[in-house]
Amino acid sequence: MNNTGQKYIARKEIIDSVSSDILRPVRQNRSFILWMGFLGIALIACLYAYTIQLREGLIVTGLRDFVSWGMYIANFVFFVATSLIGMLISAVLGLIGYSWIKPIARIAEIIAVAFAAVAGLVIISDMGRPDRFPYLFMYGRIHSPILWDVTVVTTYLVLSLLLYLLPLLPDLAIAKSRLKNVPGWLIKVYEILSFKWVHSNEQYKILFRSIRILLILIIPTAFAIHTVTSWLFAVTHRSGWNSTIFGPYFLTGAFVSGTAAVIIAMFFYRNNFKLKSYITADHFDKMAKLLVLVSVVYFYFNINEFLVPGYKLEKFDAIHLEALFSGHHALLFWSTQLLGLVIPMILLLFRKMRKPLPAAIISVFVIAGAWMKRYIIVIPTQEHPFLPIQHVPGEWFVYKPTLTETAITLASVILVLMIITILSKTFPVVSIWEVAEEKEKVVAKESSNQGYDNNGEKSINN
Amino acid sequence: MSGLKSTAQEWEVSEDKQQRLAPFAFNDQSVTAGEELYNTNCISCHGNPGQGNYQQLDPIPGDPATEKIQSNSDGSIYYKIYEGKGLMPSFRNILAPDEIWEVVAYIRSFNDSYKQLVAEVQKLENVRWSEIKILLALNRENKELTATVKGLEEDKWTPVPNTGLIVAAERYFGQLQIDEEKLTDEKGMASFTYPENIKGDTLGHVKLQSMLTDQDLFGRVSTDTTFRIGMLNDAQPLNKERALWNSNKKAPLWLIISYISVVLAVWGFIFYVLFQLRKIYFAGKKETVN
Repeated sequence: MNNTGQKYIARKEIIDSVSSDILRPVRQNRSFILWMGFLGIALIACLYAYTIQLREGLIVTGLRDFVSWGMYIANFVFFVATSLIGMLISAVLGLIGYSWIKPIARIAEIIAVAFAAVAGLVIISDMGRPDRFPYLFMYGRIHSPILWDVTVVTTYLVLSLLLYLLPLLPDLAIAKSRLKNVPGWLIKVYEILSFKWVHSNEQYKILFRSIRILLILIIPTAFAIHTVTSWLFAVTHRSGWNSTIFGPYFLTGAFVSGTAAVIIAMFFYRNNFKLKSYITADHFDKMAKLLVLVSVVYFYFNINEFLVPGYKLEKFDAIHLEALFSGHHALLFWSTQLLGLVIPMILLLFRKMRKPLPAAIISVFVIAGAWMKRYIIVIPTQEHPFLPIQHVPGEWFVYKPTLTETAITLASVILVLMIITILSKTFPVVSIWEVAEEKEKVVAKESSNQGYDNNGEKSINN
Repeated sequence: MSGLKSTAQEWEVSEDKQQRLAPFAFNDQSVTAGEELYNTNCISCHGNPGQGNYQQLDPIPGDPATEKIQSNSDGSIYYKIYEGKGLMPSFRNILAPDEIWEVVAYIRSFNDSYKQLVAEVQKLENVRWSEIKILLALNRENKELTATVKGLEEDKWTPVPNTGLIVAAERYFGQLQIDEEKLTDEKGMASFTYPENIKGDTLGHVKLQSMLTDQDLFGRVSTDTTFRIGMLNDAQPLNKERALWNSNKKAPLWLIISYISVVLAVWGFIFYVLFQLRKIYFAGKKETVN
């Protein structure tokens, strides 16, 4: 994405070398088929669990009258959160003008698309009567944050898809003419999706303008999506949810889990797709620094979120916080906060920890912690209502997810992995034209004294 | 039988309530029924009897299988479930007398040394009337409601004298008792004074329930009657104006305007970008033709 306003069109040699590197992993090889087969079988097993839920109803889950939002909603919040990274990398950093994000911007978009797409499905898995899903649109109440959430998740998904597709157009045209060992139907797909891209000046002009609109548009949308998700909780009067900072608290938490997800994906692509010269150690260093920054901000909101009610210890807040700090959820709470936030944040301050492998390992802890954190936000509050729980069986007191429920949740994670796999094995994961353009900039600067003609737009059309 | 001993607890139960006995003999059936009721109503605080897994509340609910609860008489346990105290809720409106006795039967099934005494004498009294009805009449001048209780005794309706009766007005949440509990006279009649300022519905209607208090003897005998004795409720209905709790059509204007304008603006741009894609397509097509 060109933000300097000046356009550099890469010459054929640069395009050649970059595209051959980046297009190499774009093929349906044996490991792809094995991996997809494994995911497919696992998905079928998990979908079987869903047929049980469809037949028997939500009674097969651990959800009861008091804890009616469980693992599904926690997982939904996690998915929405993780998908926000697309906005942070492409839009915020991109519009500021950081060009180092160019090779990893598409990875962030893939994660955004995959998580946002499946988030909607996760909501359906939480419905006892999924056949009534259309009622949300037919009878949805405009007053309800649930309707706003549906609106904004859909909008964000469409925006992310467009932000994935538009910068892909030139690459699709390149892939169409350069990929040899791919089936004919795939070439056809490239042909259709490339919207007759011929690298003309006019097309670039339209493309840059459209991307710029999307980049600006996606910032408020992404803020809205997670703020509204936080309102699903914060507009209710319950200890643990009744908070005015829930919007920014969720938003910063989202950046933490998303950044970790991108680092893990970068590590995978760098090694398995052999893209070491594109996704460099420097990228890990920068992303890890970003992770420290967002973690510090998130840590700050955590202190606010727990210290202020913890200082006042009002009757019902006290019951809730006691369960988190020293009671039933204490182990989960402290291990999540320490292993998933505080320790990673401190470790990443050291340069050695920001190298690819340690950064990726730390990111795994961060993302696991991020999932657990959503669990801590969603479930304990419901176990501590204002009115005493009575006249119910004892096992309704405390929420315990069942195996069926866990399998269905796992299905959503498998779906995300499948979408990421398919996208990254079908389309280039690093933007060829933008990386080539960056290289050209460097070359152009070095050789400007030697009388090179910078207008090489025709060279890209082979 | 240890049950008849007076217990040394803070929760005092009067002598006659302590002496009270179940109207039927406990058997496997009543224990099973009691177990089901216990699991729905009691287990959340008292836990599984014999396992000591009750909630840590103040005061401690206690395990029903232990001496602390088993040393109560049948009547005391019945009374405590019926009345409730502090955190222990009253079950008088949740469980019928027979059901409370079934819970007692279940609790007693954890006491091997327990031998039941059944109240046979009480049951004999109950055979005089085969059916009982209450009639509530309004005396507007004296602000009085007069209830007449009659029972069917061998094809004849005869007055039911000397029995307790209460009248209560239906409110949003629960009931409001009118006057005090009264005993019927020899004509089976009792009068209740109602307050002038009791609130009615939009027409001033108040729904009244008259009920015999001795449920052990008569079972649950009650009659609903509606009289126009209340003040008119002319408060505006809560769903009249635009409000957050109202229907979609009466949603607050600021909400409708902000929602629609934001959605239109964002999707306007999305469609603009889609239109740009179309332009890219045609620009490419033109280029290839050339």
